[in-house]
Amino acid sequence: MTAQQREEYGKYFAARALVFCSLFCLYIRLWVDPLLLYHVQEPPFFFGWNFFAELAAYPGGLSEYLSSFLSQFYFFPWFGALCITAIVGLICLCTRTYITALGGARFTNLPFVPAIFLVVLHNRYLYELTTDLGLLFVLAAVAVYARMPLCRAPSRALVFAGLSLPLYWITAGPYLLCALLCGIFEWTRRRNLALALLCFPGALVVPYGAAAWFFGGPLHDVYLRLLPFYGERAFADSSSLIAAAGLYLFFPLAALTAMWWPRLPAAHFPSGKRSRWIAETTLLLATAALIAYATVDRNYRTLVKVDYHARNKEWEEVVHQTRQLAAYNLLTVYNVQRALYYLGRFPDEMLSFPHLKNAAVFLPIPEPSEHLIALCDLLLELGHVNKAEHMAHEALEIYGDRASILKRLVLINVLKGREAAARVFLRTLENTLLHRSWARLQLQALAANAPLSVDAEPAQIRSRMVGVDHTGYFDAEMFLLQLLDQTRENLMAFEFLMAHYLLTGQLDKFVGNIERLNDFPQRFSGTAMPRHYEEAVLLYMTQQYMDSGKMPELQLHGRQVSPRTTHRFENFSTILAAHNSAEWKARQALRPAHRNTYWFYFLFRGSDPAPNTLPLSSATPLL
Amino acid sequence: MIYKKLRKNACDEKRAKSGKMKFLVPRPGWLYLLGAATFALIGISCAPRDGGPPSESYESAPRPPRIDPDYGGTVIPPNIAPLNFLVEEPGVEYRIEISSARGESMEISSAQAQIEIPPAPWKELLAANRGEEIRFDIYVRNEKGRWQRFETLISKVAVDEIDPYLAYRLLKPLYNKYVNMGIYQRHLQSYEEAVVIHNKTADHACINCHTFPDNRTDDMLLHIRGLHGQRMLMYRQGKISNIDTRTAFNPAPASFTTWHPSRQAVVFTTPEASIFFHTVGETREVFYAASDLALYRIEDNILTTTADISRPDYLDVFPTWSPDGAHLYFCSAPKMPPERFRDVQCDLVRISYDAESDTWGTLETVLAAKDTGLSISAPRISPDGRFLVFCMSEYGIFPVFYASSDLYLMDLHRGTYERLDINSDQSESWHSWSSNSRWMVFSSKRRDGLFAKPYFTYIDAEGKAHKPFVLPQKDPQFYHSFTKTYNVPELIREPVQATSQALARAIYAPREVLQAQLDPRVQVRQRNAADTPPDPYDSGGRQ
Repeated sequence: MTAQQREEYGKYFAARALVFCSLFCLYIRLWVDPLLLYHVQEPPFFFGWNFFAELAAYPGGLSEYLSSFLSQFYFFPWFGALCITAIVGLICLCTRTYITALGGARFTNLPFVPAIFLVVLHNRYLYELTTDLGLLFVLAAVAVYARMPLCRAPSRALVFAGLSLPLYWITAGPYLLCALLCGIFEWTRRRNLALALLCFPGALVVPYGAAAWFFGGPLHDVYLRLLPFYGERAFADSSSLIAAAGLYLFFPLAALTAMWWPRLPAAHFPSGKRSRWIAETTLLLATAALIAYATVDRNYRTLVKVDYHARNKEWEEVVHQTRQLAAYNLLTVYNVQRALYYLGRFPDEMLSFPHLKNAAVFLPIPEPSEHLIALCDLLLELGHVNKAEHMAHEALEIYGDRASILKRLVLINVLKGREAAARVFLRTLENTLLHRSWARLQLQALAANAPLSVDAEPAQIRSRMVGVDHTGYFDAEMFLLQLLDQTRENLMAFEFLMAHYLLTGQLDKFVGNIERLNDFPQRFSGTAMPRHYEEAVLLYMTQQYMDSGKMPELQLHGRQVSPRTTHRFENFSTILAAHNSAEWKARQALRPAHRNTYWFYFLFRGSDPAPNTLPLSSATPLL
Repeated sequence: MIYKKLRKNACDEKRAKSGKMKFLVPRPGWLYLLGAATFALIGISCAPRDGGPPSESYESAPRPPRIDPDYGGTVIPPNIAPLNFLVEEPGVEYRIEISSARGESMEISSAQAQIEIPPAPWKELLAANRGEEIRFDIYVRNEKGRWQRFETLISKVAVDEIDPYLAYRLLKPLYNKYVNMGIYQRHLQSYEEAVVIHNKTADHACINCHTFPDNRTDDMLLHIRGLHGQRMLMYRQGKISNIDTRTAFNPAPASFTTWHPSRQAVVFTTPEASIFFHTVGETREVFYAASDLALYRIEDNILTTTADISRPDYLDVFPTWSPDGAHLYFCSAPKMPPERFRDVQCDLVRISYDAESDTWGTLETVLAAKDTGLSISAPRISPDGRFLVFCMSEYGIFPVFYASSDLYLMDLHRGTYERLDINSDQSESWHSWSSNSRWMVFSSKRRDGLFAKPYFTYIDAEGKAHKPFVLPQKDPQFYHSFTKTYNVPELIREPVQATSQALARAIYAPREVLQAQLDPRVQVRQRNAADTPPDPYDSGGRQ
């Protein structure tokens, strides 16, 4: 290949990279949305020596440190998208440098293949920037190694050896790729088998030595740490796993391809042909788009959006997004229940949206880590501050010092009268990039004995807080009764308690608490009752009638079931009677008009909130 | 920050009388030149920006300055790192004069309220002033340019040194799940902290109960729980052994271990404990359904016990040996059903033991809960055998969770006890003696009610505990944003000898797990599953 051709290829690559990266950036910004990435990952980053030193003490810690810093920019979606794009662009550039050094400059689309794998990974939201950075550092080192002008084997060996330990310290597991690629380079390009044989064992020796003398740790962790196909999360999602494995397999395969693919005469690569460039670029973009489209999990993205809006108390959006779900998880149930409560639609529309079937309205024990923050919010808003503290501390232990958790702990400690502890969390937040000014405002408020400007209203929560010390393990019903014993006017606790009785089919307890409606004259004025309450009352009366043979005189404390609901119940009963012997047929017949009624739920233990609802077990991965 | 060190001389008295600070030139010989230059520099740097030196033109504030951490009035070891602090008085310039009866005094000027004391002169100052007072004179210049001098803070330097290392566990306030914890050691003469073992390198196992005999680290114990089982890690004579202490007698793993002074045996509790929750105040509570004591003879790998330390209807916890090894002290309370957890009140008891013949004596009550009205826990005897310090709280066995937990000192010679003056309204727990019996470290939540910090107190020959001070940090604002708790601080005479790599390897890749053998003389008790309270969590709750 002539120098002129190399120059031509260079120009083609630059132009293609510009187009590819622009579209990549748009895709990240508009579809993946860095704000959602931030919401899912919320990487803690703190200025100061302690945070740095803690991370730098372990292999890969420096990648994690830089990743944590750069991920802060996800909060500003365009910045975040540019940041990811820049890193991915540099990965492509380093890949091209390495492939070119192996004599593969003619494979003009090959350097973009890692970016396609990375599109798949970033689609999944759990994939952290650390792995991109680790890969980038490794490829940069490989590119430097391949392009360095030193020819003598001892010098090259020295460079490799000198590079190895710092690179392992910076990147951890991805270092293995460096040793492999350097070895391939020496073996195939330099024809120096001895040096190649030094590089390959380097991949084994350096991590082992570093672990033995400096860092410690289990062997599997020593070699695989920070590789994207290692760890619990990697195996939760097959697409990510395949993409991650593909990403790392690509480089040695590309190197071997570049080296050994039959070399065609230069005439096969005519320079200056724009049509060829357009065709190749189109092929690249189409492939990338196709793979991105095929691997994107729209439902998971919607689940993330639901949780994002719930965290930001955008309740209308929560409800709107929930309607788009094809499958849901428990976290969504918690989010939508809170949304419906705040929109004043919980006792009317609970069964029109995802809900727990034949189970408690929420499950505080045991707490899967994915639900901790949502449960913390729910319990805090209900007024169960100690249990909210429990959830927040579990989340803190699992996820680290995320700002969202620290902010909740600030509020919890203020509510518990531990202002000094609240200050500790605030001063921690003062060391962050994004929450510094918020923390300072709260510190000033604490100093001035003024109310905190936090999302949840402390005074409102304080008025609902449990004041009696109950001890033990509690289920949802006990939590809610403790709250209502403390404050009869706790509307949220009341609605959740009634929802709990409805979901668990405890109609006697439900009816026994109907009188509490009168504790909320503003919310439940007049004689009307929420729809599901009316449905449950009619069902209860029917049950009693069937048991005793006479219609019970139910004390509704001035409440009445509306004629509309009575009429619908008659319709429901008629359809049911018509299919008395065939449950499946009855279900199908009742579905169009009654699928979101309590009668349907009670009869079939689960309403049909959406036509395509999948069972929980087959829902997409939990957040 | 500008630091100036000046040599004191016989003018101290005059200076004290006149109330003026005089800086004298170092002497003799060639140092005069250097001294003159330094003096000139001092003259420049000390020159008030809008007036004379503070010692000549200040207003006296009739109160001590607010500093954090509060070191005023403390007794400090002669081998402690500089007590850096934050002056919590508003101002634009700060000047600290640290002086003493002997040796060199120091002057520190700073535009910041964070005062960092240079280590070398501080070390000299303490070394020269054992048994003497050191004085902290604090001047603050306000925005109007006026200097204010506060009342002098005085600390006393003890004659007795503190053991130079502190080992502790650092963790977040944990509930059921644990991911991130480590045991660290801190050099008390500097700010150097090193990892003994972090669970990042040990498959995120729960690592706890680090125990050293006689404040030495040539032998050491740890307990681990996690993916790799529930084991005791024993570092001894340069080797680490993995021991599974569970037998038919004790299905629960060991905790709260104490070395027999002969180092031939350890005693530990075998608690069947679970965490549950309060709705008001401290959220966490620990309930002990059962707990016995067991003695593990290291050489022959035998686990044994005796009837008086494993009574079926009693909870026996917190064993600690007397320094001569002749008595085992521990806490004991009648078992209660879970709903009566507030009625659990422990007595302090002891039983004699003859290590030669491996025979136990009879049980004696040292201090009864019915007499104190409080529950006794965590007894620790000073190495000289004179004092026993323990916690007392309203009830229960887990003092770190009880704000009512205070430290008490019993004079074992006189048989009297008293509540120490050093307690706060928050939990005090996890105390440990220095090898010379003059220092004690303990965990206190007094700063914020949530995170425990290690505090040191000097205990004089009469058993009086002096005002404690928190573990000094290089950054005086370190604790302002530190969200971990210091658990089980233990004073040690030397750094931990086992390397973190070796400990980690022993956890995740043990060569051999030694199964403790139950002494055939021990009768295995039939256990009633109903005795154990329901625990909805995976014990330890590894996430």
